[in-house]
Amino acid sequence: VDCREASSLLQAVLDREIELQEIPELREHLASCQRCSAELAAMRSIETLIAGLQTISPRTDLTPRILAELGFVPGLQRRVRSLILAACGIVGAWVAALVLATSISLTWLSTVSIFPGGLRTAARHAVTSIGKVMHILEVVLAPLGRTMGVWVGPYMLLCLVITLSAAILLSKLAADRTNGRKYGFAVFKSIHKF
Amino acid sequence: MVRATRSGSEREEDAALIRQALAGRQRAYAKLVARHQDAVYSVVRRMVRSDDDADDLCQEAFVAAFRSLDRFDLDRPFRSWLLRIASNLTIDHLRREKRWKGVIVEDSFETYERSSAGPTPLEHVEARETAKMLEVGMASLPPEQRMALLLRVHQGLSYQEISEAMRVPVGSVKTWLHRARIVLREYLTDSSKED
Repeated sequence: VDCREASSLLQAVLDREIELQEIPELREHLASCQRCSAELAAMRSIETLIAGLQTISPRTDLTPRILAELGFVPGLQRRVRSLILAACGIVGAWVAALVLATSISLTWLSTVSIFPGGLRTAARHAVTSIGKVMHILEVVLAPLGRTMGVWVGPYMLLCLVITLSAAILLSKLAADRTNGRKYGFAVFKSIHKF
Repeated sequence: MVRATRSGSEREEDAALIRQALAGRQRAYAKLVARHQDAVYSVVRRMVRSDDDADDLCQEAFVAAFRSLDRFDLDRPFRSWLLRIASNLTIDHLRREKRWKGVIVEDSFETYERSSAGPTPLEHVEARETAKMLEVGMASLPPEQRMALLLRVHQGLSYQEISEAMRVPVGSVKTWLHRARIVLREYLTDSSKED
């Protein structure tokens, strides 16, 4: 091993790619060549200095800004968001149930001929004069009260089921970001298709 | 000092956190960030001009890492992979800023002084002086040599990992490391003669 070969081998030794003990020729060369052994000693001391360089920490913890960039929200915020979504779900479900039940009731009312001539005729009469409107209201409100008396049990049960399902589903979606996004996207896609 | 060559248990802890993060647990990724941000920041900060640039690049690296977390091989060290991403981003940043050939000195002192502390006043002064000389010497290196040296010696990445991180052949990495060491040795020898 000459000085030129030794120089390239020394780098591999410094980088711990090979062990000095593995190359007896290099060891012999270092024992006889003062220049190369001094080179190895100098390089080793530089390695020690670099390895000993302080770890530099960021001025402030970068975690919050990284999580914010990724769209993550802190635990408390996530729970608040979940509660808000659940509340929206409950209100929405109640409105939907009310509309549904009212539609069912009105359809039923029309089929039992409470409006003579059906709803359309009643509506036509309604737009022709206020008196007729008042009459329809009178006609509608009275049987509606009676009908609700009959339907109030199933109606309330339906509302309860829809409300609970919506609340559970929305809380779950809000709490589980990955799946929430997936399911939400699937629902959105099917609505869009429809 | 932070090294990429870490114990098996640390690697397993990283792997467990990655699995949890992939399952949608945000807190697991927050823990990964907290575990590795100093190592990434240490390398990036010694490459760029300002704390703000280093903050932005670190953030970008962790965000990019999360977005490709599902492609990460759990048998490999997470920190090395992260450092590769951060190095790529830093090199791109330097090229974009046209500071690839630039030299950064003052900031390196500031950052060193902020984080250094010797046990006694005299040792502190000596350690600071030596580190200052080293930081100046390193800052005078071309960025590619400085990056290779930091990744190899300070973070313990292999030639292969550095070549992947810097997108250059292994031969170039070896050449840069060799040149960097010679320049540093000459610089430190000259500096100590002047003193």
